[in-house]
Amino acid sequence: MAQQIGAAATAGLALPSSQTFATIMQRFLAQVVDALVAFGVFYFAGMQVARRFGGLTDTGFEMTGRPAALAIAITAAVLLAYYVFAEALVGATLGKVAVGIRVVNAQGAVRLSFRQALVRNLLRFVDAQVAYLVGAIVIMVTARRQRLGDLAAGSIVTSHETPRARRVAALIVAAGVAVGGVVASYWLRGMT
Amino acid sequence: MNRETVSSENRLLAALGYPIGIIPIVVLLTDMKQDRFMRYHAVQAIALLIAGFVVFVALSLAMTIVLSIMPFLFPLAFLTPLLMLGWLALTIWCAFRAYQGEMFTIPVLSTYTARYLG
Repeated sequence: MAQQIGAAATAGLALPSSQTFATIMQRFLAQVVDALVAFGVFYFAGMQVARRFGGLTDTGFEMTGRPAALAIAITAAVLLAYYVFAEALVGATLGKVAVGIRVVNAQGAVRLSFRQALVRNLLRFVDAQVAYLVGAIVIMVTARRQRLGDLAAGSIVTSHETPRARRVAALIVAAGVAVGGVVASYWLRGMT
Repeated sequence: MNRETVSSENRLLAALGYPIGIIPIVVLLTDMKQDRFMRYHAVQAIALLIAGFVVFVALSLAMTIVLSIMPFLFPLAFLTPLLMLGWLALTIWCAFRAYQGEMFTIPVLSTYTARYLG
């Protein structure tokens, strides 16, 4: 069935022999690295919202209700922009660069348009249900290893030969965003 | 059965068994299954969990087929989180009823669990 589903959507399209579809493990590891970025953004946004609406504690911040929803909404918007711009402009987020994979247009292995990147990442909300179980199930049953976002946007995720230095740099930048988010939020807190 | 005839510990365990899948399994693997109230909710909680998983997988496959053929229908995919929220609400409702000491039935699902419970 998996072959049939994939074949129906991608008849006649094949990858260059030097490339392969990204595995679930590669995509998972890319998510782990991107989670560092998400952490930094969330921590910074959370601290700023707590500074403005109350919720600062001795060790950080604690919020419920509307301030918490606002912090989550700001984080989600920033991360959506991060994913869309990174995938549309360079074909990969920091996590994908670190792992050596990239997102390309399924029609011709070129970069995604902004519309494709937006559709792909809006559907991340659906694919990410129950710790990306939906995405994992769909990737397993499609011939081109696409999640729902890829199917809707017409994109595929492939392996990409990335120099080791660039991978390490991406990992360092992602970690830097995480640490930077925490440090900056405490620095700004100290200024109040 | 009601709040007076079932101990508060049993009511709490039965209620937590709905959102926390490991609890009903432990109940059925230990002497706790001798208690009719505990056995009833353990079986029902496992059935609800399995049904939820089956629906979840079926929905994922259905969306895969739909989007493979008609990608422009992608807004339909956003219905799945809503269904997940519905399932979560059902789980919380079951937990609440179990904590009240009730042995309630879930439409469709209870016909299957009744066979197992005898």
